[in-house]
Amino acid sequence: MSESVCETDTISLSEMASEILLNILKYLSVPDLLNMKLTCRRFCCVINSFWDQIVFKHPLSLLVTNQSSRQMQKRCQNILVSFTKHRISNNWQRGTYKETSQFFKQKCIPCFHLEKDRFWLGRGTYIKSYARYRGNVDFHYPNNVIDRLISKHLCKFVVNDDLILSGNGPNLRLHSLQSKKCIFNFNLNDMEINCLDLASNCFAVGSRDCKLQFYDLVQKKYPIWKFTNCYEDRIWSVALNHRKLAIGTAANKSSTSLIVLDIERRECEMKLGTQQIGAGILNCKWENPDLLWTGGYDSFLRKWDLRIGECVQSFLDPFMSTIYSFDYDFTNTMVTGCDSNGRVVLWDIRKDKYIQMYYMKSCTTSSSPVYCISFDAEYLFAATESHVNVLDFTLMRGPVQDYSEIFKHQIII
Amino acid sequence: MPQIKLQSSDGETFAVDVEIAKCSVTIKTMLEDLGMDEEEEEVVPLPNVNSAILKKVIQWATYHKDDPPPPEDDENKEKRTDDISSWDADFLKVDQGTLFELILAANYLDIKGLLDVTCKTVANMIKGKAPEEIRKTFNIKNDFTASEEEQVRKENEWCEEK
Repeated sequence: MSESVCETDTISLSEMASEILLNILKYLSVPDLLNMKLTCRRFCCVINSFWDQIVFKHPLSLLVTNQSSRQMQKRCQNILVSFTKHRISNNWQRGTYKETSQFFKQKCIPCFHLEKDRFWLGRGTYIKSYARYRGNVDFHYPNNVIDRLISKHLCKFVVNDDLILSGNGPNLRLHSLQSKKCIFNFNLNDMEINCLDLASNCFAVGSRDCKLQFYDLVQKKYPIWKFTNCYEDRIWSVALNHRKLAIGTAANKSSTSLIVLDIERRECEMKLGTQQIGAGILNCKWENPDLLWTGGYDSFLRKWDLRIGECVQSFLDPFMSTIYSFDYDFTNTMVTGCDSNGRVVLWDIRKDKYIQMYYMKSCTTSSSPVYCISFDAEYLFAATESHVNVLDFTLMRGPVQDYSEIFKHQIII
Repeated sequence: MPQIKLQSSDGETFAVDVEIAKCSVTIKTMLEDLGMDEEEEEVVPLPNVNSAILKKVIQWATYHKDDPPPPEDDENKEKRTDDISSWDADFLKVDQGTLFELILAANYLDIKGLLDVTCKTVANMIKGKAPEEIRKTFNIKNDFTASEEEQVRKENEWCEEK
């Protein structure tokens, strides 16, 4: 009997296994949990990691800070514990952030690509990569300069693991990062490149003069598939997955703004659109081989389900302006870049109304569209004609710039 | 009523009605899976529970033998801790070490009702207390450095201003 008394003396609360502690913690309120976190490292750690389960009683899918998709994980420099996820997600929704921006003298249409450790920026005549430091970007020292393009301004580039595909004017270049060499360099005399996309084994190029070319990297025959004068309209955007190629057009002459081609059969699979002249699509991105997101001149962000050939979800910009750029966390968060005032909108695709709006400070003197946009769990990156703006949502405390209820007092005519 | 024998970690055996012993899901599964014949005088070894705690567990299970099965956790309902019966409250007037041992035993033996009531009791000891008071109550050593503690305090702020 004396032995068992001795044994009971040695057990303490802080030594209990996490799953047993959870049974106790689930009865506590948020203020009690916060006090408990302040007692010692162990409780702080346990409560942080199980925050969702304790507070929401089930793993909640948070806005922006989910980090559950592979695509999002490739962009995030830090994997957050659940308490921090909740705090930062709150900052996004309430508009608590700090803005920094990098100014560029020369105005142009920029393009960038966000990775975990690198930020690729294409402006005017070059593509440079910058190291990410604590999530933000250090713009002072580019560590990789890929392209020095001579005459025409760069229109677009895509990074896919080892390869970078870029287009400027009629010049199409494919670079290998590993070998640090330009693998292909084409001059497509008869084309002015507008958009391009690169998949693991192929790439596609669309042009201002209504032409499209498709290249297969395995067969090494170029181009293996060429459409000339097949389309009436300018091609504004292309998006590839391993089976299909989506093409967004200007929809100025025909009301078809979206065309989907079957890559293997090399034929048109579907013609979609809003039957509205001028509703051109500036951007398209695949969520999976059957779901496609588009944004453009009709002021809507749209989700198309190709199995039924219809638009299944649509989000109207609060100011009904053109959607120049958008990005997705592949879970529930969308951000859209709009046509003026450096305005960005945050969407929860489970809800009809937008969640928050951010205005890039650098655009107060000159109104510019947000040409390119991306985000990870902690930072938003938005490029305008002369700035790259970085919004830092990791703040513990900061000013609130809340535009979520901006239309609340609007007079309805 | 058929009985089985439960053996504690320190070798003491307790004869218990099978129906009472079966409030432990662990014992219930053991009897079903191993096909232990209720006619025979089987001894079930419980290497994780000492005799003092096992005695308490049997006392609790005997009193609660006619209780309806505890409801499944409703995720959306707020968890109450003020619904402990007066018998349970009296039963749990024990030192902290015994209370924690009972939690571990209830967890090991998988007795939901006992686990709930013991965890609620501990939660009640935490509720409404400042960090320093919680440390005193449970004899927790503050192992934060000053700057770490400041960091946690800062992180907590966003919650408090709501």
